Amino acid sequence: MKKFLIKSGYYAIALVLISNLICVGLMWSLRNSSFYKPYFLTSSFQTEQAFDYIILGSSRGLTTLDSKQIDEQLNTSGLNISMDDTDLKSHALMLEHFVASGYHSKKVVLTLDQSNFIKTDSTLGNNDYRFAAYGYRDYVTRHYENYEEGTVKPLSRSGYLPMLCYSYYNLELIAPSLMAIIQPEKRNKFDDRGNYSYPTNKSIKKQKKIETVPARFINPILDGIQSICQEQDMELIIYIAPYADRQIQIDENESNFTVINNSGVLLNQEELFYDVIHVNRIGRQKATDYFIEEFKLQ
Amino acid sequence: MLFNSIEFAVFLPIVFAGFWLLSKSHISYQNLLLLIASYVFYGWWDWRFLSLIVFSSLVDYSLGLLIHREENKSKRKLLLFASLIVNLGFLGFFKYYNFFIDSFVEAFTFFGSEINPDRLAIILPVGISFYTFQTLSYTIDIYRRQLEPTKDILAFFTFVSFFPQLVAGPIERASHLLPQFLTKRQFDYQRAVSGVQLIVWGFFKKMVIADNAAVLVNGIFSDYESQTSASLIVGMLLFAFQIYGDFSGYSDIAIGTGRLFGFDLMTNFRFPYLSKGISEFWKRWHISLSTWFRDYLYIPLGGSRGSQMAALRNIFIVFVVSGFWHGANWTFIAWGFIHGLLYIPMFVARKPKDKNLRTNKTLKHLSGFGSWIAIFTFVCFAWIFFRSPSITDAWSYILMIFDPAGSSSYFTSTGKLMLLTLISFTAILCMMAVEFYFNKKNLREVRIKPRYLLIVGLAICFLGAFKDHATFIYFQF
Repeated sequence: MKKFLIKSGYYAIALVLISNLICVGLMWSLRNSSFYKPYFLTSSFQTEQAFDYIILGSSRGLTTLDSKQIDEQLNTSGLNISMDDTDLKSHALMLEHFVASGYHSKKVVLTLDQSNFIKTDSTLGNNDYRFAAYGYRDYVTRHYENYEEGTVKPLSRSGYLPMLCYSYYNLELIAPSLMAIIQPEKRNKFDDRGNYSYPTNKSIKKQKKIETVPARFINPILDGIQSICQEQDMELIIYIAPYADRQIQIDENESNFTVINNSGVLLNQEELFYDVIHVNRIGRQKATDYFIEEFKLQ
Repeated sequence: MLFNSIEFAVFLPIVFAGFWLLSKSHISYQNLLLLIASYVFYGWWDWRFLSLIVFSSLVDYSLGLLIHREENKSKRKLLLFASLIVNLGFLGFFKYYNFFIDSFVEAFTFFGSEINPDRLAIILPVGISFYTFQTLSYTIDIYRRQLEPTKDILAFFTFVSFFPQLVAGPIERASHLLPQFLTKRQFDYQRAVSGVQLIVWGFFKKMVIADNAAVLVNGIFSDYESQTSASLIVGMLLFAFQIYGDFSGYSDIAIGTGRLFGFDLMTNFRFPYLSKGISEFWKRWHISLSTWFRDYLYIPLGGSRGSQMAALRNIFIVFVVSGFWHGANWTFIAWGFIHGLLYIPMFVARKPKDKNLRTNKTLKHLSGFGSWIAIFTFVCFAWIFFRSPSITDAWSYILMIFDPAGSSSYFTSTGKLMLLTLISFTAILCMMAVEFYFNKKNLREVRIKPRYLLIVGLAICFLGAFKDHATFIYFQF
């Protein structure tokens, strides 16, 4: 019995040690790659680099504003650090990551989705695992601990037991980590300034009804983002990207934020949309033009 | 409680430690601990259904003693019928009530009448088909005077509910397992090591093959009408390995866990996808069920003793009942029926082996390979009936393999799914290579050498489907 327990323990410890060692290596390669946005930011730009603006947001931020077009027209230096399939709490995490990694920006353009005006889902975002290689940083750990559910909580423990998150998110993390060893500069569907556009080969039907949605921004996470910006001397601008089927109406008196509301600028131009909430490549060009007009006034 | 859950990872070491700490006490203490552990294991899913197991155990324990004591033949038969009615009654009610109601409604509607009987919202107790068959073997063997009943109620209750094999087998015979609850158990290092080897291999099959394949299989089968031929073939192949990995993986973990406690459970799978004939396949697939049907249905029906027609009828009955055992759906019956259809011509054409017959070695290998391909292809096609929600869907799926209506290819639709396909097929190839090696060595099971255990363990850690882990398919049976 004693021999069995010792041998079992030996194999179990060896398994934990070897797998964690492999994961530490994989995480290192991921951190030094450009595959996911959090690593693209830290491995492609010098620490303490200052930007004129950054674009935060979900897929609507990622695909609506083209930072290259903005920079060309306004002679600025901007970066799009939006990530698809994320919500406001992940945007807040990205901003914390931006600041903690030693970067600064004069302006923070937060692309806010209608679903996040009032509150945000309290479960972990679908793509929050992309911060896993920075799981040892306290703001990332805090984020995971706040939102991750279940008994094992692989991401919350990714700082000291990376094997757990690599087991749980194997499809999402192992292949990019291995690819990062061979091709560290490879990016996951975004260009060298963080932008992505949807193709024009798909369009949506003519919208029969355009809805007008009155909006108030009372999501407490917004206050958190605002306070980070104030602490870092960055100006927060909330940007509402175009929709094909609705127009957001904001009561200026009720909002404490600077808002660029372009929600209705592309109404009745369905050919510019990939789906009702995302513009295509040509739509992005137009939406960015509209944005530039208001942004340069800020 | 699932084997692939955190709860089990905590539960098993606690029970293991407690069990061997009691090894110097009376055997009843160990049995009591196993009984409590087994009830916790089962009750974790739904404690209310524990009453069914307790009741079933009590009935069969009492009836076993009564049948043994009774000398009058008709009274003995009556007592056996009581056991059959109670056990099969529960099984019939929980598993087949709604199926029969629906089938009657459909039949009446077909003939122009309409009836509206009440369907019941019945939850199928996990593993009911497995433990019912296990307890039935006990009373039938006593009736046949092949087994002495036990007076040790604790040992009997533990035998019925022994947690490693309670919910998905192997379906043990009382004559094999029950005596193990009555004799003193000594820790055997070699047995425990072989248990761990089997557990690790079982987890590989379940988590790396079955659960990864399940994601692709579900995607393809749920939208088969829009898939290409290639996608439908991939879906069919992956399901064949999903169900094998899932079920044989469970059996391996169960047998391995049993060995950790000093118990020897019967082999349930012996590399079935290496079979070169349908009868060989059934000697290698779900052995505990096929031998159960052989001993308690086929032989009582007359087996192959009578005329050839009678033997064929008996074989056919066994296959159809075996299909029906799997689930209350015509698709399972069709699956059994199809296997029966192929088995019968092979049975008729079977020839005794002529040992003196010399054949060319190359020719023999070629013919063996051809037979293997043919049987594997047939088995894969039959699985389509097993997996599809209805016979119409299964038939359409098969037709669309040859004449596809769609242009989608689920398994290549995203990078993630392509990766999943690559992982699944690589793991399947590795498993088949390992099984081929052990089959060649004439072994009944895979025994991963300790130095390779770490590699398999790492494969599970990195490639196992932890996020998309599925329950074991056979739990529903």
